[in-house]
Amino acid sequence: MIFTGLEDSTPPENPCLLAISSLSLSAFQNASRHRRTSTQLLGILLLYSSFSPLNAENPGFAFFEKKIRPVLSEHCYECHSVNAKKVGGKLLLDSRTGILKGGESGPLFDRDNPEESLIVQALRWVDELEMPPEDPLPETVAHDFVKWIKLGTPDPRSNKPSSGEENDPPPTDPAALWSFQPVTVPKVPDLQKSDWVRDPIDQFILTRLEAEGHEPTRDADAETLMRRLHFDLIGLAPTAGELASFRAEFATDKRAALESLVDRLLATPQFGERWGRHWLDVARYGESNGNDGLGRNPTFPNAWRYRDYVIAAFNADLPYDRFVTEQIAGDLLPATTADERNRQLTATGFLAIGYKPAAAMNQNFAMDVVDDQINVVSTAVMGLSVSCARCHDHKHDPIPTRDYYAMAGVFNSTETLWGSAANEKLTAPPTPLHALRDTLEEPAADSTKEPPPDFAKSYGESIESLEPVVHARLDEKPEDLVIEKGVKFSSEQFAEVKEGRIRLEAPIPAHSYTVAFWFRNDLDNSARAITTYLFSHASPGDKKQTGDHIGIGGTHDKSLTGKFYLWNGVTRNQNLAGHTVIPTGSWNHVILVRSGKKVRLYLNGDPKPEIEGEMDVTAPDDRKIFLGARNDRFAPLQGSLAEFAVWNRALDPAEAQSLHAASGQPRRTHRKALGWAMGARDKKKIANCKVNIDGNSKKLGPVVPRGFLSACKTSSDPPSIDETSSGRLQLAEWLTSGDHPQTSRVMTNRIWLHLFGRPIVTTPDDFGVYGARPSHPELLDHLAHRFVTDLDWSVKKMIRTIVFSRTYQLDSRGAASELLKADPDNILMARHSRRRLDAESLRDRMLQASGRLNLSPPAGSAIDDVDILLNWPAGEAKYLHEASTHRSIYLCMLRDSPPPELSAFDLPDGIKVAGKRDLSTAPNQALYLFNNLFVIEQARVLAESLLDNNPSASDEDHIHTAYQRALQREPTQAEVVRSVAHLREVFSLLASEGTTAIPQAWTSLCQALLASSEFRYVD
Amino acid sequence: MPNRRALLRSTSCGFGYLALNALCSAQTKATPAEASLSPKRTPLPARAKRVIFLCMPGGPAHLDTFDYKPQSGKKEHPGSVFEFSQHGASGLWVSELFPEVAKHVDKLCVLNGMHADTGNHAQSFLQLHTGEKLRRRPSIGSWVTYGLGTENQNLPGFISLNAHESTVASSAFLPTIYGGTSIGVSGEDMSKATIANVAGSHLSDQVKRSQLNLIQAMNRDHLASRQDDPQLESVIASMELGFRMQSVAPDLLDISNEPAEVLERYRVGKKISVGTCRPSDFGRQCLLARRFAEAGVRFIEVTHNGWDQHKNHRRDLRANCESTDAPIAALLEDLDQRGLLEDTLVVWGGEFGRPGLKPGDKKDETGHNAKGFTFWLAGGGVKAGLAHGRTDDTGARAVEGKVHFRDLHATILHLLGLEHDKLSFHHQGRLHRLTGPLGGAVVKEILT
Repeated sequence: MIFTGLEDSTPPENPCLLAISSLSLSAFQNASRHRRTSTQLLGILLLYSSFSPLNAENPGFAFFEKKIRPVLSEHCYECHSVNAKKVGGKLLLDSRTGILKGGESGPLFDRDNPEESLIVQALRWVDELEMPPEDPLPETVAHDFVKWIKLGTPDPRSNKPSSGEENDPPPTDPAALWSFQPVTVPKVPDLQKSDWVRDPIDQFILTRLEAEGHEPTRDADAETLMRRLHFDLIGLAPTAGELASFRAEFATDKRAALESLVDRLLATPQFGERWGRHWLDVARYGESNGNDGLGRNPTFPNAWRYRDYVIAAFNADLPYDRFVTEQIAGDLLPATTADERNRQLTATGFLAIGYKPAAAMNQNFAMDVVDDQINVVSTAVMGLSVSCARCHDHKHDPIPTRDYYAMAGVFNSTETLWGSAANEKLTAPPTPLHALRDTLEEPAADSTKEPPPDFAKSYGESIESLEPVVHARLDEKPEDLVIEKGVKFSSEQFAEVKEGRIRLEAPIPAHSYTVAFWFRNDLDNSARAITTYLFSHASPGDKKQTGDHIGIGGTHDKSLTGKFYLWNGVTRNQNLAGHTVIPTGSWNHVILVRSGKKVRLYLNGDPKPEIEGEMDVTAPDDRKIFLGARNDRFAPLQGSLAEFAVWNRALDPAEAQSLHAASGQPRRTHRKALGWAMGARDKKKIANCKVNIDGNSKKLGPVVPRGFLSACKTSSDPPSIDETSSGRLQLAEWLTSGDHPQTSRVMTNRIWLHLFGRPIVTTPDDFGVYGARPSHPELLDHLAHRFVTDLDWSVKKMIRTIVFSRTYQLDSRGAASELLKADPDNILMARHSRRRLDAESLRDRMLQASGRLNLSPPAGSAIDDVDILLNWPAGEAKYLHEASTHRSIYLCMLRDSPPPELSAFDLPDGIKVAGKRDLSTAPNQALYLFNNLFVIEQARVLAESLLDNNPSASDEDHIHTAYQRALQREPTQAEVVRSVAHLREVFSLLASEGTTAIPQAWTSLCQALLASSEFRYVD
Repeated sequence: MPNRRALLRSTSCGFGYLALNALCSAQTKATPAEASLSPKRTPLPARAKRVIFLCMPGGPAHLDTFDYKPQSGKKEHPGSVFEFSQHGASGLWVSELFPEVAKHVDKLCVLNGMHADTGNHAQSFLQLHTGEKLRRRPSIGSWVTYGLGTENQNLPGFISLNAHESTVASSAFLPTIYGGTSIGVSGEDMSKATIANVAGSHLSDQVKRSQLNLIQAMNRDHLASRQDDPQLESVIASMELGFRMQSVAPDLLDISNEPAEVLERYRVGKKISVGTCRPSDFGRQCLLARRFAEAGVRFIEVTHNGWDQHKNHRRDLRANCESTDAPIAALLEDLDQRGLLEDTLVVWGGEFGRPGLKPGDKKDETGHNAKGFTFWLAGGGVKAGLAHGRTDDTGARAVEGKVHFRDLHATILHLLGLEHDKLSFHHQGRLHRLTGPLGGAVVKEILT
């Protein structure tokens, strides 16, 4: 596969080896790198001489021939003539028409101001366009061109290009455009051998088989079928017990046994974990950005929500059209419950989780994000690479640049929410995230200012009874506190603060103290970076802010917006944050208790602290307490304060409870955010996109109305996009219209791939001209049509249909040798293909064998509270991969730092859409099986459990159990003998049968089972 | 090969050949999903069989090392703050900072006309390795391994030592087996760095051998009951190869049996930490590179970080040169003596160069310069004792014999017998190649 095309189709010629990334000069640089051949030079000389007779007739022509043509031919024709390998900027300089017409950047001549002419500017390298690109020509040349323009650009050349033909790419073979044709409803062929057939699928398969003179192989036996279905549908092995009972049922009633098995498997939550992972490959799922090109790799702490969404969607059998729609436009769909709303918002994570190149020094960053979205939507759903058209009309697929920018307008009108990108603006500017809520209602936009609480009369006494160092109601100017300007006291409103501050002079111990107060913040959370600092326990003017601080987050860090956080200064820089969003204008009661490293912040009488954790004490004991602003006056409160009290000890939880209870105010809860999801939403400003010439966002062409691919025809007109929305909903509607030529075929092919190991179209992500042709085009259309009409886009029903076909149930063994010889790749599907377990299934099966597999899904991800840059060397990533016994899909999929337990077995990198995984067989996999600690651990646990569970059993019994646990079958007598021989050999090698030798020998045996090819391959 | 299975069943000796065959036969009908590392025939005659890339991240100061700019004319211009002298029969100029390398100058082909697109470290470093400044593309080591396979199946085909960036070893969209195997990443203690999973101490070597025999017996049974399945044959071969790698790779990494003279000559264990010069144990890296080259590894990249001496230019540059000078000289000497230099291409350079300083100038700070800088090649198919190309008088711009990274890539592939414009891989709707859409030109002037 190195030097030529694909297995099922050999492309006609060199495909578009052209820029997708080139900047404005690419075309010119391109050709200038190629050394001109002597024949080309000769051609130019001949041309020159053929026109020379004209010299005498027109002095302008003579000037052209002497001064202009040599320059054009010497420096320009290489890229700007019909003979150029690629015409730069759509500009042809080798004919009069061409030079008068100009190129992508516009006309060349400004006849009123010749000096300002584009061609002169380019020659002088004054602006962005610098021609020729290698080095500027002498000023005399530019001067000659100015003179020539003043003369009226006399040009003796013909209007036609001087030689060659039109520069269009060669016409494409219409058969190569098969996927753009409507899905047909092929007639199901009649067959003579109809007793073999169970489903029309079989008729299509058998027709081709018979036409090529082959017969299908025998049916697979019960055991093979059950193993195959288990791995295909849920990615796990059946137990030996399940196999035994299935064999019995199968012997009685094949059909019933299979139906009940398949329905049971489709209904287990493990189905979604298996098939969800297939989709995550397509969705280029990753939990960090991946190296952004500048060595930075920010985590995506909320990406796992999209993972869980996908798993749930497959388990719920969300119809595929709906699944696609939610991922592209879930935020635009109506929701009737909070759950539905949250789910649909999470679905749009599909558009946000992609890898992004760094924003720094990248003027095209915004369009790079758009490009990723266009690419993932078109490749995942349509199997088409649209990205080539970013820079030029697609050379072979019928995708013009115009269509690319029609789609770009849709995504450019979309705001992508990837989160903080670890607060590294050079990687990506921070964005908000979708806030998931427990209510459907939007939170009130502008909160009114609540009146102060009506405190119980005895509140003050109750506070005093706990013996505070200081207590002030703040309804009048307190005596024992220092009031800095900007505080107004009244019995109605308590202390109203604006740029003011209250200070306690008496030192309060740093290791153990309590502070309590009521406050109302009137500033909107979007007003500034930090909404407010309410409290500091620090030294005035200490620029390192050593001490404790309570703040409410603003716009700086979207994950903290409106929420409390505790911070202990620049030196240690530790943060603890709450979950509750404090509504602007609401009164709230806060108690902060520090006891050594432990800190608790109680809010509004909730016995469960809003913040609880450990935070270093960062400053000595002589610090002051500030209320209403930070110690350096940063981010002062705009609002009110009341009932302030300080203790030089840590109140216990009961005391803290009583402190709130005594206020006479009800416990109150504010809306808690359930969490955040990456995703997308419409921008406020909806706009069509301009063509970016050569993919350069600073070099703009005409505006293209938002729309879709013109070459993919549906029976009705594509939905129109109104001015108020991005058009994502219409894009989804168009893709899922049922008769979209690619959508149903692509997904049908993906499902077929995962059941047979070989797709009908062997390039599942490329249904374009360069992709493979379907091996069974009629079967593909038949199934695609059924998928949409009979099966209502149900993936589970589709799987059910296919696995009940006779073709699926064929044996992988026992094929006739002529067949093997004639069809080594099993294109005809006369037998079933044996397949290696993928990385996830292999690990899961090892955990099954050791008995350690935990089938319950974990909550979140190992990094759901880690918002950092993983920089190379990946030292930090090492500890992020926690040991886990959950299924592999839940391991932390950091880009550029994949889980070490999976990385040896062709795990996709999460950068590209990967509909079909590589299936390599390499020595590093053997090394993994020999020496990886995870593998050894599973072998050890299995060995120990054999010995521990039944200490009195014989070696033979243990071997039987080991085979059942690992391979779900009984060993043959020969295998028992061989295993015993291995144990004996290990004993003799270790010269003992003692306490160390026995576990070692059994671990070695169990590891051999896990490393065997039988363990890794499914028939 | 009708006897293959029988042979496999009968014995496990002679596996090298059989393994090769198994992998080769998979290759004949290879799809991307069944990629292979077996050696491949080259479309052009190969002048080099392997590459050792001495990667110098940060931007080595070309004017203070291999690009001599004598002062001429009345006005002093930027040149070097270090002394230069001519060496060897070729009379090439080398600065005083590389006294040991200077002794081997007649082996070098110095490219003084290098240029690249950008003076940003990360982007230019990426372009040096992948041809592309920003996007994910396979590194040159992956392309070479993809194009050529590897000679010794007991070892990885592409090894990167002390890598500065993950991209160095990335196969991107090429099949994963063409990715580099990392030994240590930037700054790790190279004396402890090793290949992932290459060793395990839970079983003794003898027990492991016995275990392998058991595994292979199971695998052969599995294969025997399942007809001729190349996948399962490959598994058997890969287990054997992996097993061998367990002893071969650690043995190669274990340099304790090298004579003291060799360790001294390579300056193994010498770690200089001055300013930007990080302790890279470059001597150990170079010695390992020689050992890997001898063992038939296709592409070996070693790294000394880093040459980005902005301030303290003189001090830090001196330290960087001192860290690498003797190890490089020892490597060149050994390769030559063992006849390996003939078919091993050694490449030295970083992502760009630096502007010069005026001699006698008190200024001690330099920046980046991508418009003109120096690489040198040695061995496999390049002219020795030659300086090709030049920068202008101030060293700021390459003006003659200009060689872009794309041209360098094209030349390296050409020397290895690969056609740079044909070595390609289909991805995302088009064919990709190392030299990108713009293509590169083989620097014919330097070929022997």
